[in-house]
Amino acid sequence: MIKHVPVLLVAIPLLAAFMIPMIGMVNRTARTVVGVIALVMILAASYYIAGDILVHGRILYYMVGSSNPEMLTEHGLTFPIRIGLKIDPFSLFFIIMTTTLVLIFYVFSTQYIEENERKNYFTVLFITMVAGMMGLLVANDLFTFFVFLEILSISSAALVAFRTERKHPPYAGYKYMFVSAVATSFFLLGVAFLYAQYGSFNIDYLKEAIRGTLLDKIAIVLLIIPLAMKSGVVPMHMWIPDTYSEAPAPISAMVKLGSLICLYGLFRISFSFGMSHAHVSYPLGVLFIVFGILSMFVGVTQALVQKDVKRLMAFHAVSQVGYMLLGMGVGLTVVKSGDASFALFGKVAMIGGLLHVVNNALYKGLLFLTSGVMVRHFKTRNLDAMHGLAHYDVFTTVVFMIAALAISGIPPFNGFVSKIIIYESVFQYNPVLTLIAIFVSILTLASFMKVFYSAFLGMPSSRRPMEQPVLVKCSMFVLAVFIVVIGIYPQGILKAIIEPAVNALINF
Amino acid sequence: MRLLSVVAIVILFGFLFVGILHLHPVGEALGNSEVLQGRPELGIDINGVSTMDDYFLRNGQIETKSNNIVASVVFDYRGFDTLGEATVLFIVVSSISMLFFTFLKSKSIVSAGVPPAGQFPKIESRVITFGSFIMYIMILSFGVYLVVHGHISPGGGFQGGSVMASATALLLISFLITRHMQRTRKIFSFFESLGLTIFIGLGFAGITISFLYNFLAHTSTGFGRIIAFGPNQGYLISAGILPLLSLAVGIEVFFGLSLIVVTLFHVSGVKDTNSLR
Repeated sequence: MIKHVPVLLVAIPLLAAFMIPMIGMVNRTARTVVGVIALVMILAASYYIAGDILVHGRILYYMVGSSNPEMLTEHGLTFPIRIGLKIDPFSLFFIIMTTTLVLIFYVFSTQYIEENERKNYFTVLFITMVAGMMGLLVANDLFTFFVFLEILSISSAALVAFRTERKHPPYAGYKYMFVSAVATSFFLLGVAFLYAQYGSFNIDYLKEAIRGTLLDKIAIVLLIIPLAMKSGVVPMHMWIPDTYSEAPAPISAMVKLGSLICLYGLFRISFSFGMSHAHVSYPLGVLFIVFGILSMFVGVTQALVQKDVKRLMAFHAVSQVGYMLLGMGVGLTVVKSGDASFALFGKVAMIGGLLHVVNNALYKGLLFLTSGVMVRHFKTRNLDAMHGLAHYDVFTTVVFMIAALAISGIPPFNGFVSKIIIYESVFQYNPVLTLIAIFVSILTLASFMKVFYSAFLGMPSSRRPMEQPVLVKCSMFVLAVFIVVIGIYPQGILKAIIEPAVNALINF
Repeated sequence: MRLLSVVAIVILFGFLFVGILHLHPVGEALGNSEVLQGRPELGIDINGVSTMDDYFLRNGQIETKSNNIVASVVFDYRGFDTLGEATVLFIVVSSISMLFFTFLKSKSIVSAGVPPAGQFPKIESRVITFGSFIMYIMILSFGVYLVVHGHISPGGGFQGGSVMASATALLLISFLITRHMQRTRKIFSFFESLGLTIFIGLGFAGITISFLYNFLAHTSTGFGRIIAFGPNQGYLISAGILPLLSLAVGIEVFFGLSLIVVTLFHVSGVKDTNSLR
């Protein structure tokens, strides 16, 4: 059964999503349970293959519809004719992260979103969003990648506009839909260029065929700019504040996770197509570093002046993406340099960047969930109108503090680990970049101090808070535990998952 | 700002133009053209086949037993993408149902030009109602024809389904569906999900070999009937699971698009949108 896992990761959520409208007509509890079952099944499947891939270094290939799905080419041909799926350690790292986090966010949303007939559609779109993410992560075929990018975009856009009874969410959803439509159209244009030139969609085949000509460079730019746009990198970040702040809290966390998946696509495509030639990889790496520095700086300076708690967190999401791009960009600039610099600091920078991806997904998710609790209690997103939550809700205060300290890079939480790895390795490439990164980290701490001071401290508010439902508390608690565990014992995840992932990315 | 956007568009078009100039010349062989061993026992001939599309044209008919190469590419070789595209339509329908939910539940709905529930429409014209009914049956049967013959002639699930959905639109504008909107939407939603479940169920049916494996095409009777290479009239029962997949997509597209049409028609009757907030 292990050989079918790549396709099951996509097919199981899709099957659940297709059946939920029928089940929801009969029984609403059964509908929620079916969603949980599907998410638990893909979680189990992803952990089931982890040992085989990480320990034995096996790479799972799957050709959908072929009579021998593990064989890359059929009938003695030298090129693939069917849709290829592939799981290597790099995608497995993202798959494990995604399957774990979506289950937590789903459990949170079961009690956070009010129960009515409309929640059927919410559940359907949530599960299709998961299917889109899994499709992006397993696809080894550019057109399939495009299709699942669209599935992810459309379902997230609809979910962002979930609160239609208010004024702004439909506009935010429309904006996100528009940005995604532009991005995916340009992505399709890039795919079309590569297909017209080389006659295949398969990423592995194209990686061999690509020669680094002007046409290839144009195609690569057309492929990576839309993905950078969807991950919220600074010149293309205008959709982030509206989208994250107007969406319901679990959906903000999910859209954030979706943007990290797009970052996966960015890394996968730039390393696959850029690695073969030094004159492609070096400018790409410099582009990443420029994007990273811009995102860090612009994101955090915009966040400092916000008075809306969710907008503030949205701008921090922009600034955190910068760290990942900085780490991976430094790795990409030196990977083909030919001297010892890659072994010296390039690989470490990439490890730091990837560790920051999972750390960021954890604490950013937790921050968005706590912001949901805060907004629900105070009935406003304005920080000036909030005060004294700590008097009543100790649990939320503690988990918010953990997440805020983690995002600011304070030991012993996980943000500190990845940031120190990035600082130390990037310092050997260019000390100025490290100085900027540390400065941004300080500003992050300052702005979260502001949130903590205004929302949690001060006079107790007259409104007694409602007790949080048990599943809401549970999901936030699990995220906080992950943050602390990775912060105290990072060697485990570094050795077991991230190092094989980086090796797979540079050697594959 | 306007100057900036003009400059951006000019640069973009320059990029695309330069890219097109660097494409390989039309007619030049791609990839390698070495002589390859085929699979003679399956009748597959790959001698001189150097690209994916070459392979489809040469062997699609024999391998998938479908006379329509487009159908064999869409449902067999790239069936997974088709599943994704069908999912996109499903997501759109679900989103529309979710986003207009408050509109559909509101009491103040008066569908455009239609009297409130409980009264019959005031349209007396026999020409419109009877004519629409006749046209409805004709459009529907044309759509069914397109769906069912998707693996033989041009057409298929998506095209036939959209033709059938246009028949629903005809019913709406001729006031033949006026009441029981909620029930209509529920039934449509059920069948839409059912169509997609059939699609993915057929995919799971071949999972012992691989997902979306064309398991019916490897028998020599029934759906696996052997067809001759080259132009021929084809058989309705052939091409393995391709006609079944096409039928499933047809059901999904028909009910999905109909649901969109019905919902938007319903929403267009909401007089005062601000009262819903």
